[in-house]
Amino acid sequence: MKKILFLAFTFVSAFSFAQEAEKDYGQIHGNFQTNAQYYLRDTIIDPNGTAFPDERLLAAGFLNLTYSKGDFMAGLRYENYQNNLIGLPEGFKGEGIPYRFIRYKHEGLDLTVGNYYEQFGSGLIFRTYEERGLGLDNAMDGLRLIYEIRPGIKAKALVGRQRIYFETGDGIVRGGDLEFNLNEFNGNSSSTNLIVGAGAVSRFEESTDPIYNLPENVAAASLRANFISGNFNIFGEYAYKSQDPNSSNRFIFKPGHAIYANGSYSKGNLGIILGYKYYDNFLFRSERVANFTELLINYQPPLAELHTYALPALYSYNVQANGETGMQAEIAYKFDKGTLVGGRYGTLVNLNFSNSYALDKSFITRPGFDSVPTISGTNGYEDWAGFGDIQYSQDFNVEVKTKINKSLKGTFSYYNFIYNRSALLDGVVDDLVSDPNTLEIVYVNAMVAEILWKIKPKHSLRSEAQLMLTDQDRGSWALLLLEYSIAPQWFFAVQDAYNYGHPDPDLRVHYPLVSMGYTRGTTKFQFNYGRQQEGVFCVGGICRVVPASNGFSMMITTNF
Amino acid sequence: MNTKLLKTLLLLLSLSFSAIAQDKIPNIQLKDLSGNMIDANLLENNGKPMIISFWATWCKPCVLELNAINDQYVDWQEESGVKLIAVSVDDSRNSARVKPFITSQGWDYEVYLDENQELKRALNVNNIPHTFLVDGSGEIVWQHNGYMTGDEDHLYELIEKLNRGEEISE
Repeated sequence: MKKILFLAFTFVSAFSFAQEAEKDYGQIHGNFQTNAQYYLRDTIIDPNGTAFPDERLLAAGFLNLTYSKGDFMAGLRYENYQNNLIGLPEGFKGEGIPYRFIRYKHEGLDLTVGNYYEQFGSGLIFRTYEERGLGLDNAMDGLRLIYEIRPGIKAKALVGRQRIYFETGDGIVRGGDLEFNLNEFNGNSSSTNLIVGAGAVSRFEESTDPIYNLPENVAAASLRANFISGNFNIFGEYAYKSQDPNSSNRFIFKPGHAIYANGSYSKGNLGIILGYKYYDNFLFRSERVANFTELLINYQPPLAELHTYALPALYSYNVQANGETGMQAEIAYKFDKGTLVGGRYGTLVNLNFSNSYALDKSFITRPGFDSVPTISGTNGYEDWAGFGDIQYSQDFNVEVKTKINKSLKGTFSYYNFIYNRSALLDGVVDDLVSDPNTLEIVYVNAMVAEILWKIKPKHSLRSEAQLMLTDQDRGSWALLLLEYSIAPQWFFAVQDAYNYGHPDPDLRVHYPLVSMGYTRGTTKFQFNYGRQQEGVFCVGGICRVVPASNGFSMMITTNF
Repeated sequence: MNTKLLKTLLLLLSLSFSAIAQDKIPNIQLKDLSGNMIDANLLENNGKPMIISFWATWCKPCVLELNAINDQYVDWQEESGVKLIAVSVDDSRNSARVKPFITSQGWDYEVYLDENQELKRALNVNNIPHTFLVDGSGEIVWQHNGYMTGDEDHLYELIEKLNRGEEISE
């Protein structure tokens, strides 16, 4: 017994000694998350069984490990899909280590070998990133060098190929970016600043196409400027892409253009923002033929508010691959306490408007193999940078946030949407639309009231009442949520979404869901049981359709 | 059975774990709202505790948390000298909204942008909101994922503990 204790003692002392000297050995940290779902067959919401997997139980998860010591950092991610959850890309299958890197940072030098995520400007020509919740990960695998030539002048150069599931794509991606920051250059931190940048990215992919002479090298370049002065902030970026016939633009030879600009003013209680977008044939991938979120080289900011309440989120906007244009305006104002609107504690009012249209195109067609005219193989269309006849979306919403008394807080919002279901959900592309009136447009009015009641220290009840009215699509919905939490460890929630206005009386069903969560330190457990309505789940500008399902799900997340 | 030895063992074990939990903010660049780049590892608060909170304009619980802290922030600052650094992970879709957003909310925090989630990744943050508590010497002594009403009271208890020179062991 004593011997064992002695051994244990030696081990523990050695261990703690190693830790005391940790500056010499570096540090290891990481995180871990796993999601599992057990599916139940539900013949009402899913009559054909499309969302009922053969496996019945699906589980996916990952573990990140990062090691750092001084100027060195190294990391890897183990991922595991047995198999991927319904609604997430099926390409993620099995297990492996698709992400690993070594990074060295010293003074102005920053070198990465292996996988990395990077963004030039607003991402119009280059952005690699990950959104685990969407199954999006277009990490580069290659080399990246960032070098500060002198304070205020930063250069980036990179080369590599992109991740697609557990492999890398065929296309080679090369890029460079230069940014000049006036304040840093002058060595001051004044509130007036000018930042200008220029970047270029090119992709090489072999072409063996029997019909078209497809360019193997495709380049994109952009110029951007950001002027900041006190309360004003103005940003603009223009980008150009050379001929890039691909499966997303239906193999047209037209070069791409993109403009993304916004200006804002913020002072005192007031915030104003105006934005403009114009994306003409600007989807850029490292392989010509790819789907969904695969191998995206760039990011086109959607310039529309991201809604997170469950019902309004059913009509989320996603960027259209074959071009779009639109604008956004937003005003936020906080009425001071003691005023008529402000009441006793102050009231925040936020108004947001955004819209998106197809481009104003006049199509160029040629006869296809079956003599039906097609835009493929031509320049596609002439474009006048105006708003086209097809409206993709319009979103107007108002949010009022106020404190009612010492223990009650409320958020009340109203939404009005015009949502082009044919284009945004069914993928109808504009060159196939001869009459815009044939498109299925959904008109939505929605309201949400959220009340937070602080019952006593650490105990609170949050409730959401949502109502969404529409005569189109799946009809009207109502939703009620109650969430009781005991900080910092427990929460219990019940929710019922009722699709009472569905045109098919058999589908006027309830979607009840119960959930509970437990947090201990940095580890969080969450369990859900019930029905989940079919919906669109979006992060950033990218969305995926999640099918209706019924079952028991679990999430564990931790970091260390 | 030698209970003294066992106690020593337990003590050593807990010591070694507290040593593991210690960490510094990594050397990653953030952008301030005037477009200047700053090194995250140089963030400091004159030897006083510091809260680093990861949030986004679209994240409801994040905004709830930052508003709840904002209600008491003046008192917190006066009593403990604590500073809150709000790191927004909004991407270019929403990063232009950050400044008007915080202005209208009336937040008095130091705000930075982590546009492509580099610092978030380097600190192994899975989901937001995620809050770190950093002591006066720049060591991360505590972190928490998610937000529930009342969490801010617990956070402030920990800040007071730090100011009394006590160890945080959770």
